[in-house]
Amino acid sequence: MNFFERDLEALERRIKRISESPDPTKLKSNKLLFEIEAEYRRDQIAAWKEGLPFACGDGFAPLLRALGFVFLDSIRAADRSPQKAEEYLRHIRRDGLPDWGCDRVILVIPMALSGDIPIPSFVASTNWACDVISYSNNYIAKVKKIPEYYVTVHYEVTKQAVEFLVEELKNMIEYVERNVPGAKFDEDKLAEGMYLQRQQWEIMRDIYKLKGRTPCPIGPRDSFREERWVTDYTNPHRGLEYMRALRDELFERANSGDVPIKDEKLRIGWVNTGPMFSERPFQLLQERGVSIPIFLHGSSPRLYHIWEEEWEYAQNLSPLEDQAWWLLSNSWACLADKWSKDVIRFCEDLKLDALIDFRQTGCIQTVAIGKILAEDVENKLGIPTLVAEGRGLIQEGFDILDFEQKVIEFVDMCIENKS
Amino acid sequence: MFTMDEMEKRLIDLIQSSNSDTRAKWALEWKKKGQKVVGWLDPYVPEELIYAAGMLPYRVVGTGRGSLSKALAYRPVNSDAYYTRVLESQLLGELDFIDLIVTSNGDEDQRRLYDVLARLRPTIIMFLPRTNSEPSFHEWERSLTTLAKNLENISGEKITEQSLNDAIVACNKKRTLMQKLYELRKREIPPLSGTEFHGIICAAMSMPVDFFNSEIENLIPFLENRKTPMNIIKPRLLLSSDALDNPGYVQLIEEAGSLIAMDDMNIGSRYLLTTVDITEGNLLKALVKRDVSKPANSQMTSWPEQINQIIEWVKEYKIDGVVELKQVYNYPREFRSPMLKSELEKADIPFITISREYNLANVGQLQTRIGAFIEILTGY
Repeated sequence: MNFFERDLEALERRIKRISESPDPTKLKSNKLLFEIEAEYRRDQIAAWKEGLPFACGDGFAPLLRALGFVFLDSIRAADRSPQKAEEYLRHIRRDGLPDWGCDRVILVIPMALSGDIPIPSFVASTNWACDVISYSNNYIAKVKKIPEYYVTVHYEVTKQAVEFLVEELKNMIEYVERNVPGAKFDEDKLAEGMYLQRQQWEIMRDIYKLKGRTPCPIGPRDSFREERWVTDYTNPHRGLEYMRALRDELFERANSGDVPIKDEKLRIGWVNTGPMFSERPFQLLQERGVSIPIFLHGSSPRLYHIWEEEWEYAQNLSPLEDQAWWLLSNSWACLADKWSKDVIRFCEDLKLDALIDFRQTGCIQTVAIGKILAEDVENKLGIPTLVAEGRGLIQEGFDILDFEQKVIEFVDMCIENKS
Repeated sequence: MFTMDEMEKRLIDLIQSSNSDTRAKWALEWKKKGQKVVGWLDPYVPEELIYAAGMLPYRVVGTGRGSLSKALAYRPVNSDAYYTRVLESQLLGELDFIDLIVTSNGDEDQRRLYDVLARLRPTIIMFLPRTNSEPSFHEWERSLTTLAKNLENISGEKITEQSLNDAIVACNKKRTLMQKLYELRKREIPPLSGTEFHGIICAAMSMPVDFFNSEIENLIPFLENRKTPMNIIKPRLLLSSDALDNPGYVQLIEEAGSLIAMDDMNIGSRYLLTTVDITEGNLLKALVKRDVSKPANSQMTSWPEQINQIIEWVKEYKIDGVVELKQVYNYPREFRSPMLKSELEKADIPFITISREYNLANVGQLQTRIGAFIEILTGY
């Protein structure tokens, strides 16, 4: 069974479980999400069988679709394979690759090379997220001799940075058309993709504001979910359908007061990553009246253009400029000062009392500035940060009980201080 | 006219000048004259611009002191050891004499080091594209222009066409002179051991260029006729590594019974073997052209080209085997290494890859592994 089939099976199990005995504390719209995800996996399975060309590259989905590819969410696939994580880690070690690298990402290499996911016809690489992703993509492309184009993203959003990226994207288009048989750029399709993305961003901004309500309308486990960009899907409109359903449900919860944690004692921002192999930490938090209004990771609010002062620039952008602007918007490619200012604004907007910074082993991007961020948040807002380190998928060497104990002690301390 | 013994002493003095306790000597003398020192971490930082602004470029090395307790409060244990040791050096006050440090975003670890350093001291980061496309070419030129303005602000001296031209000429001379030394390495019995050569490379990065050029110019006729001090000249190895500031590693490999006849290093061949073509006209563009044409570091995406360059050097320098010393937790190297191994195997070039610390450490293990590799090469 390949990854698509495994994931489809898991999604179908979840849908069945929700249909038979829904958890009232979790979002009803989750069922729609899993149904749409299952459709996406079926589409990918069909595309793979038909021999349609796939392309991967987080952040490039609108452009890759406009070039005629089926988008391959390879990094997300790696992230959703905890059951194969130990096996793939052995492959990494066998091949002499860095086994201490971020397990949420590096496992994409053995997945691709073993045929667990399709070999893409094109790889779009960038430093917009992290080096482990970009070097993993580079490795797959080089070993499998796949056409690859690398776009270096600036750490500042300026007019010049956008212009540079637009030129690079034009080069990338030319390169793909030259090197991938049958690939042809459709600007209208890119315009449509960016238009759909903007709709999603608008909905996500609404959701962000809703998360600022007290008590928080989203429960801890539901918050700990990375949003998917609608242009990943073969049918982005279905993605938008889910986003609207999610927003409407959160709006209804916020207005009616029918929220998972009515007696909210603490509001925590969860930063970076977490133990994906266990739901217990989130259950423990919920039992203690702790909300997690936001999970700050790759899809941070900057990616849906949360800051209105940036919107003036965004008027009248061409589709390629829009795609370029989006690529420039990931905090991860930025400097720490910018990330720090963002986190402080999130804490203020969402009325956060504390942060849990679960640092991913091998994640230089986040771990190497963790101290700065924690100090800034403490100095400017008086907000404490609990720091933990572990891997997202691999349990080897991680004491979950010890982590849970630390979380409980931290939370109890924060609640006491707050009262 | 100097005697052979005097020239030998001059050579030894040059090599030893880059020892940890003496390498800052010229920088400190420069400061005493009221001038400024600009430290650099990434060899892509153009020293020519720093000279043109009237300042001394100085390669920042990591501290040799054992404990990293200060730096590890900021950085994870599994991060690039060179950057961690640089941070420790800063926190120990060892870099206080440096007026400005220039880094790049060549890899995320360096960018994250910048994030911490910038809160502790004047530091600049340059945007370095990782590919050689035409837009990247223009963007790097923009980065150089921005750097030039920043350097002028720090030094108070304008970078003129003349001052930049003079700086390029001096740095080109350094590289041309070093290229002559690299040619001498091709001999069956070279006049310099790999350890000695490495010492000269390290001196090149801390010494004012005019003084260095003068020393090398005077030493070349002596070296052309120098009787090698080495007992062992086979097997001939190519050493591939980055941020190899400690010559102890080179010595360890040679003492195991080999000759390091060539290097693939970001502070060695890749830093020294390409000059700037000033007939280009526009000097900034000429600097950019040099940077895009020189052999790239593993942080760049052109891995096949980088590996092909190593294979060419193996042929050119009649190399028997390649030793890669990967610095621990350096992501670009770690990701490229399996491909390097595979391509060298296809080219029938013996290869070994070993992880190392930044400072000389785990000597016994290294000796054992290198010794075993050398035995294979010599046919035991």
